[in-house]
Amino acid sequence: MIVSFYVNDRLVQLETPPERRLLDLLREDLHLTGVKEGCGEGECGACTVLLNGEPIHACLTLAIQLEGCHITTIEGLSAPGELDILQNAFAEELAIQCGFCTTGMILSAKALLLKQPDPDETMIREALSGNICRCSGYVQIVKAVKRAARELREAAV
Amino acid sequence: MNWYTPVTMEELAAALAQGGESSRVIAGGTDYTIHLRQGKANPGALIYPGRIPALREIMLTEDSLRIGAMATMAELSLALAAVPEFAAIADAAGGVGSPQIRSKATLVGNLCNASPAGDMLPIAKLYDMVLEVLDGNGRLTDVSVSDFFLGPGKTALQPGQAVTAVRANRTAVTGWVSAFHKIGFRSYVSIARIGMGVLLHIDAAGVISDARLTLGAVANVPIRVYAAERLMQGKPLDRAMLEKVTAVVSRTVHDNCRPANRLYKTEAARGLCADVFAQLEKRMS
Repeated sequence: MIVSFYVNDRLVQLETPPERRLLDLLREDLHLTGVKEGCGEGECGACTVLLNGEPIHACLTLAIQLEGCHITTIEGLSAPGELDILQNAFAEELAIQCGFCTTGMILSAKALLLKQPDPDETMIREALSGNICRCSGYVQIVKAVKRAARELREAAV
Repeated sequence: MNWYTPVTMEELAAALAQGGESSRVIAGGTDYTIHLRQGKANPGALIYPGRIPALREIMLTEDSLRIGAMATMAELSLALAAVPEFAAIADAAGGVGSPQIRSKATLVGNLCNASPAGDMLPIAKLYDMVLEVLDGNGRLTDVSVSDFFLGPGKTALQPGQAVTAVRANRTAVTGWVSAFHKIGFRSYVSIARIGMGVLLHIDAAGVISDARLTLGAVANVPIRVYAAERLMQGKPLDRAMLEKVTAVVSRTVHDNCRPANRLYKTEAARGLCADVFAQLEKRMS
């Protein structure tokens, strides 16, 4: 099938079997390797991207489901060579060790901040509950999301 | 593989007619994608009805609730949290999987997948939902939830049919309060070990005039616990009544679950009762 959808606000048109995963379309066809495959079955959250602003698993989304959709990947958060406020906050708060979960973590956080500019810790932990990190213990990650939320609010003033 | 992405109900019916016996309709695809990759499914054709606007609707009127097959768990938990008689649906939808799963997974998909641990099975049973089934001729037939579930992964749905929506009678439960809770291995992202839904109608004097109680993840299909419902009728929602209901629920779990789970689930059912009724009391105050 030929599927047309938007990736980071750019229209893409791909020829693909209908049962091919969004994860593979992004990584193999579009060379957007920020999205990671961890478990491949919707448990770990490493492949999280945004679909029309909502977090989804790229490993559980098929080409047949994508027509007309807007997908945001980590590459779409900032211009090449720059860091988005969330990315910067994760770096500043040392919320990254191996980094494999980070892009999914940041996109889940992004989806939260799109709806809730001033989340408390419970909201942050719930929003990140589908993203598993084996390194950090989550404390720095929660701090990074709080910091990004604060900086985004300050930037909006 | 053939594929169909209908944008109207007529096109969906045509896809069902053309897709053949081995065609498969997917909604969120959060379970099906895994089956596909494990080689458990080998469909001749895939049908994705997500672009039919009517299937995305959640319609609440004075006398009914209608949930389209493509309405997501996230949308349901937002839409129904503040409607006391349907808050149990929001509880269950808001507790499915993770935010990523809830952005795509749908109530109807959960019912059609018919996993005994599916959170929406006891919910459908609680509200005596009616499933609207479309066939390749464009004919819509109502199927009652009591006729729909046949066993693990098995439903009354025939090849070439699709569930397009479910309905609940709102008139029958107006003025009631409801809650759903489940026990899992952890607080987030867990598969139900037992799920329990309760609907209560409490009169002005504080007496329960009518009640419904359902359990999921206990037997192969969701079960309604009539004995517990009869116990509640005509009684105030107090400790003595709760103890009796808890005993009946616990015994029902004991009698219906697999032997390997019996010891744990019989005991866990007690805590689950306490949680559900605490939630109901909070909603009534």
